Amino acid sequence: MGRDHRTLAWLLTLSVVFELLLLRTATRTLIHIPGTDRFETVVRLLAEGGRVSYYVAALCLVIALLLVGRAGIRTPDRRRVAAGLASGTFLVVAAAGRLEVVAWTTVGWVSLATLVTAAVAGWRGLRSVPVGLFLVGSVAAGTSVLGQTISTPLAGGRIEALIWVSEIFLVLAGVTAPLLLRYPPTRAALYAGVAATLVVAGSASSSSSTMSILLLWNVGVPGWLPGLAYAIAVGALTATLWSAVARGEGVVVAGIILLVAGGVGTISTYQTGLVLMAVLTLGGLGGDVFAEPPAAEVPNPAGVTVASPVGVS
Amino acid sequence: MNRTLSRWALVVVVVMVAVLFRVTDTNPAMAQTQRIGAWQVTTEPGLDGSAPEWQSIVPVFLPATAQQVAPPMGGGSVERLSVRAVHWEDRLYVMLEWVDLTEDNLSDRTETFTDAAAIQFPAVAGSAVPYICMGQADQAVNIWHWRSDQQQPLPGLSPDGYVDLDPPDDDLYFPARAAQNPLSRDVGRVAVQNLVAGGFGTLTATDNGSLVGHGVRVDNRWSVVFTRPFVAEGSLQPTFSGDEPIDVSFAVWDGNKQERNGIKSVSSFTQLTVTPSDPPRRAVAASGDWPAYTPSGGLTGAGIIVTIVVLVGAAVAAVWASLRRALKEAESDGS
Repeated sequence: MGRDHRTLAWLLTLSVVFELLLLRTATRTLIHIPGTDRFETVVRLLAEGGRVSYYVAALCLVIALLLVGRAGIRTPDRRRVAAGLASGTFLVVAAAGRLEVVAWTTVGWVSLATLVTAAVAGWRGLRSVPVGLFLVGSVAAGTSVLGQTISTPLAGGRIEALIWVSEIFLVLAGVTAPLLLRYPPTRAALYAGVAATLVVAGSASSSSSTMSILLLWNVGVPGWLPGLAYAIAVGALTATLWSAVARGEGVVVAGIILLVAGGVGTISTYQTGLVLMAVLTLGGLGGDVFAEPPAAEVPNPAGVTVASPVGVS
Repeated sequence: MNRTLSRWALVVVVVMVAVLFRVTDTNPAMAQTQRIGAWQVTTEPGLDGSAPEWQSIVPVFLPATAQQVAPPMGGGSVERLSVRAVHWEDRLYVMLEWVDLTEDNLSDRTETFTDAAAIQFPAVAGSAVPYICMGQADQAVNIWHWRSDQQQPLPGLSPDGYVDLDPPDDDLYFPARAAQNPLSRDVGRVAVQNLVAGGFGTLTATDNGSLVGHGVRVDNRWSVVFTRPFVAEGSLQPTFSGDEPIDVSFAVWDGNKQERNGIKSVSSFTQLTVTPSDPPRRAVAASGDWPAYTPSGGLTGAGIIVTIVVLVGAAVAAVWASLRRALKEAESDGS
């Protein structure tokens, strides 16, 4: 059963990567490349692959959250009970929203509440700071959308400023991403991070509008900060991912991928579900699906053994 | 062996169910994006966006960015716009509002451009979200395009201008009119064009039917109201109903910033829902909606430097904390 769960984790992570790259990015940027109209069939096939990946990811996500919910029932550990409650509540309310039994605003507010519950349950001090910052941004962005439906002094233009707040916290979450690692970033990872910063800073200075539009469509923020801010965040995130892959910290890799693909705010129940799974995973509450391997199985900074990239149950 | 089989079985089952969902277009998720309510009103709302009946409705604000997908790219001078929508006697009214410090309603020279706004719907309500840039071959879009110059009377001859030769009223001398360019009509100019498209390069003007629109200046803003009956009179135009939300996106052009064609500010797709409820109202205090701050323009010089220093500091601190934690763990393991 344990290996089945690991397969599920792999399938979820990979399908999310394909969905993000093919459906949300490639189909929107290939038009930049002159002459791609000659390869229309290829582009359509890529888009179709991205769509199927989306459905695979959505299914895996539902199963993974169900497993976390089940794990919450079977344990006296209060943190895991809270995690199970959060994932169970989210699944119920998302399904009810899809069936139009409850209003979308209810789904939105409850989604935000489950994210906060999961983050509190999985809080691990300094290591959870990036997730906490991301969630502050997410709640701010979600409130900027949901809050406009309330006839209170919050409604109107003032609440829109929350998007501005969400961007700052999103960038801060990216910048502090190395805190997620169990071990410090490798030297190669730091070089990769610097390289990523330079590449993004370069592309931002030459075509900042592209970055804005991809940020708005993929992550849900308008990209109001200077391009260099995003470049530094992407650099730190790259260094973290690189180091996590090199040292076999699969849970961190999967968590970051799910978090990035989920985006900030409430965009869809699929994306909110990804963020919830990421928060649970990075908080060590991924259940059997994204279980963090024991310290002995993760290579120490000197690097000797290579543990399973995505958890061992 | 059994384990391997079990794992592959899991993958195959999940992929097969996913393909089934794809084929039947059964989406297990729901959108949680910004939603615009088209509220029911009991009196005709009219086309004057500055009227208290419009301004008292709580608006929905949307961020906008430059269009950077299809050439000519650029724009982005308008960073936020507000949307209000109502319906009255089976007619949909949508009001767009945005800050534009200059009123540009003349396009009498090749280097002058007019302020404009557009609303984009999928041609068929309830279909999958079309590609935001003019739709795609299998998912057309319907665009309502308002231009400030088209609601002005035709410009006459300047008092200090002169004419050498008055050309005969022949198509040879009026090629745009001969090509049936709807903007070259010399009578019956209308402020709104009804357009359909199924991908880049396919934008086509179609009969306006009962689609009308009008823009007014309110302080330093444009308020533009579009309206059309729920049921379209032509093809590739959606029928509105309360059954399900319809996707909608917006674009605005600032002529003073040389914005035209693809150079514009665009929102992403959001959803509009026709609802029988009354609109949420408030005291008319529109000035609070448009604070003086401009997000990207406001952060310049020292602000950018401080932001970058803080972010670099945070990154370094994160790496340092990570190193320190590893050293501590190594020490405790050693002891």
